[in-house]
Formats: sequence, structure tokens, C-alpha cells
Amino acid sequence: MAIKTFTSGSVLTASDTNTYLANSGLVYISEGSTSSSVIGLNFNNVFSSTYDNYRIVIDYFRPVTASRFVALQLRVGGVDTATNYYYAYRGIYTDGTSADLVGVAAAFVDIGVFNSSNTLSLSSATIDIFAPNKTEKTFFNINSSLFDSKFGARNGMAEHDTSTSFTGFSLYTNGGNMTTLRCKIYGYRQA
Amino acid sequence: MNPMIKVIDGETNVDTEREMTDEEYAELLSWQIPDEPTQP
Repeated sequence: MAIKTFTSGSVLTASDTNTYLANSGLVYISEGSTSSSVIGLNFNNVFSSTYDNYRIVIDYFRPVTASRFVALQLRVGGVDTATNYYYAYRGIYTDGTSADLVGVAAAFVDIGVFNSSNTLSLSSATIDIFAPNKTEKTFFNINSSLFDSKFGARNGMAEHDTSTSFTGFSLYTNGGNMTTLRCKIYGYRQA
Repeated sequence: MNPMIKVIDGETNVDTEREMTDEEYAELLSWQIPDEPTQP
């Protein structure tokens, strides 16, 4: 919708308010979090034709077992897809050493979040996923933070290299349960 | 007993916890690795 300009004395109507709410920049879709009793999160029916592009925000990660990273797999029909992921990050730790990371024809996307501690609560990652519900290859832009006895940051991309219409995704560690992983999903406003 | 998984439905925002099926857990174990992939 076009931006409406309010002037002195203008009345903000219910219609205006609803229009702005419906057309906010990022539109909330769903969220989930783990307790230590679960090994991961399966999100079903979060990608659809309603939005083309999505943002996933992870703002808390602590594994039950130390030295775990977070893996993402796309889903369709309630089943994870465990092939054909590619990813590449440039990364740096606070001491200046490299935290670069790559994966080729992998079973998952390592989203770059790593925690060498099971007592430290580590955030975070933002993941933009482009057109996962279209029958096309799916691309990601990812920014993440990590902790491996010192903090670090990664910035990169990922791709699923098969033309598939996905409806959801899953988050796991590379072994064991998550004390807490908190995740929200938003859709990008279409127009 | 297999591990528990939390499933969230984005249409209803209802979440449920259930035991992973044998097939799901076998698939998970097939790719889980002890360390991050080799850095370049």
C-alpha cells in the first residue's frame, strides 16, 4: 500500500490501523523453543505462497552437551531433506583468528552457530531464506555468532541445490538435545 | 526409546512433543557428526 501521510488533526481510523498492521515490514508467522527433553524442532507449514521470502531469528542457543553446532534441514510433507546443501562463511574470532566454514553436498546447513559451552547462553543468528516455497533452488543469507572459548562471528550464504517447494524446516544439533533453542519465523511483506 | 522431538505447525501455531520414529532417528544419526565440518 502507499504510505499515507497524516497531518495535524487527521483521524487514525480502525481501517488505517488494520491496514498498517497487515502490511508491516516483517509479518510474524510462528515460533518455537526447546527444553532439554527434546532433540530438535520441526516447523511444518511455515512456508507457503503467502510470502516469497522469510526471516528466521534464533536468539538463544545452549546445548545439553558442550561443543555443538546448529544444523538446519528443509522439510516438505513433514519429512526432512538430508541431501544437497552447500554453504560458505567468512568468520573471525575476537582474537583475530579465522572462523571460516564451508560445506559441499552436505546433509544439512550448518548455520554457523557453535557453542563450546553447555553453560553459556549464546545468541544468535538471522537467516533470510529466499523463495523456499517456489519450485526452485533455495538460497539463504546467514549472519551468526559463535563461541569456541572466545566469541566469533560468521557471515555467509547457503543453498539447497535441487528445485523443490519446501513447506518447513528443522533445527538440530550435531548430537544430543538442546537445553534451549529459541526461534521465530517471519514473512517479508509482499507489497 | 527414541529421542523426543517438538513439532510446531505454522498454520495453527500448535506445538506437540512426540517420540521420533525409528526411521526419523536413523536418518538423524546418519548425518550427525561429532565436530564442525573442516574449516578451509
